[in-house]
Amino acid sequence: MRKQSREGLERWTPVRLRWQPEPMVEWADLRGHRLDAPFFEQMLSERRKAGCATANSGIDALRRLDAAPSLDPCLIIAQFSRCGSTLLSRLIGAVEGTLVICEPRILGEVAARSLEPGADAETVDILRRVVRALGRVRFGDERRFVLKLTGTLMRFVPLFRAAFPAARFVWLQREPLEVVESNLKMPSEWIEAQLKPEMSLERFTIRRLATLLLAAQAHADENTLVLDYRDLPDAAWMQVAPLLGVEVTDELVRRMRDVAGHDAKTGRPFRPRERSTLSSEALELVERSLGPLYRSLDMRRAARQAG
Amino acid sequence: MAWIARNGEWLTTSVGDEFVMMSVSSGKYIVVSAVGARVWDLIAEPVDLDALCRRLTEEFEVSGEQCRADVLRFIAEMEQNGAVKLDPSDGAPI
Repeated sequence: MRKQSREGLERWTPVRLRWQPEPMVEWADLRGHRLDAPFFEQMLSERRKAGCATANSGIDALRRLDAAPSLDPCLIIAQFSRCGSTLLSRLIGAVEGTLVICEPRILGEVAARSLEPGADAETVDILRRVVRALGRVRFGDERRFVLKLTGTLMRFVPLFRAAFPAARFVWLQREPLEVVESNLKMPSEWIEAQLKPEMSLERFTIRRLATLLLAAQAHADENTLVLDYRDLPDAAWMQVAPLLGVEVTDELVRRMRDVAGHDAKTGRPFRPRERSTLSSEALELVERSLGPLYRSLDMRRAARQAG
Repeated sequence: MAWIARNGEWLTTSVGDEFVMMSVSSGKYIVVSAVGARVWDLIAEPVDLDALCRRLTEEFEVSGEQCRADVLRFIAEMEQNGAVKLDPSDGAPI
């Protein structure tokens, strides 16, 4: 790990935040690299392998560097997992001058602090400065900043609202059965790491998805645009682009349609989805535990579209 | 007499025989058993410990002593998670 003077961190990127034993921010020198890869962490891992410099600072550096030219997020996307959020972020990335950062791990590291009593005000302040450091103007052509959160961060949306009151929010969801199927077919590494021997992957996945829908129930208010996987890609230019304050031209729609024709994660053309078979017990569990929560949010979506 | 009451707003859903609860204000979530879910139902309004245990022993095959010990342990965990308030005084309900 190379040393770097704090003054030189202005255009570096905060990538980790540890609270113990002393609060510490890890920065990576990602200058010269666009941060809007489908997954921020994947891009970071590639840069680390390529030997990018990193440095540590105290938390005060965030405060001192906050005056550097930075963008506040104008749109924050929260999502249900495996519901097209990567596609949506790629579609938004087709809007010229838009920086889209997807699922940086540091946001969870900051937000988790709020679970400790009395930490709220400080957490909001640090969250604000971390997000602004992610939204640093590094190339000069960035005009707006969109942040996509991991599903688990939906429960911390009030922190993001407090940090960025002007930001608009999108909650993107998908038919729970399809989400469960996708998660079981390709479980996330962290899910497998957290899975206890006495619990089935099905049960663990459904429980986790239930927490995401509960969080959406709690925090997707009337100012949140609720979208469904089946609304994509059209919703990107019909409903989301207007939230960014951009003119929806034929050229923009053409660019977005071009993005939509390819798998957002692999860049390959889409193939028909293979449907897996869930056990009847799992099907019933999905329907009884996730179905009503999903449909209640879907009614908000339908009401907005009708209105 | 100890009074027990819910603390803050919690959203809940059942996942099979489990009950998933999420605090709206903190984002914390916890998972409790079916019996825990029943206790949660019964403390929708503040209730004293004796009345809660009487009700549970009517509904479940458990001795009064065992029930009291289990409820106290459960309530202590819930209090630690910020889900319940416990007032050990003889005063009015919380």
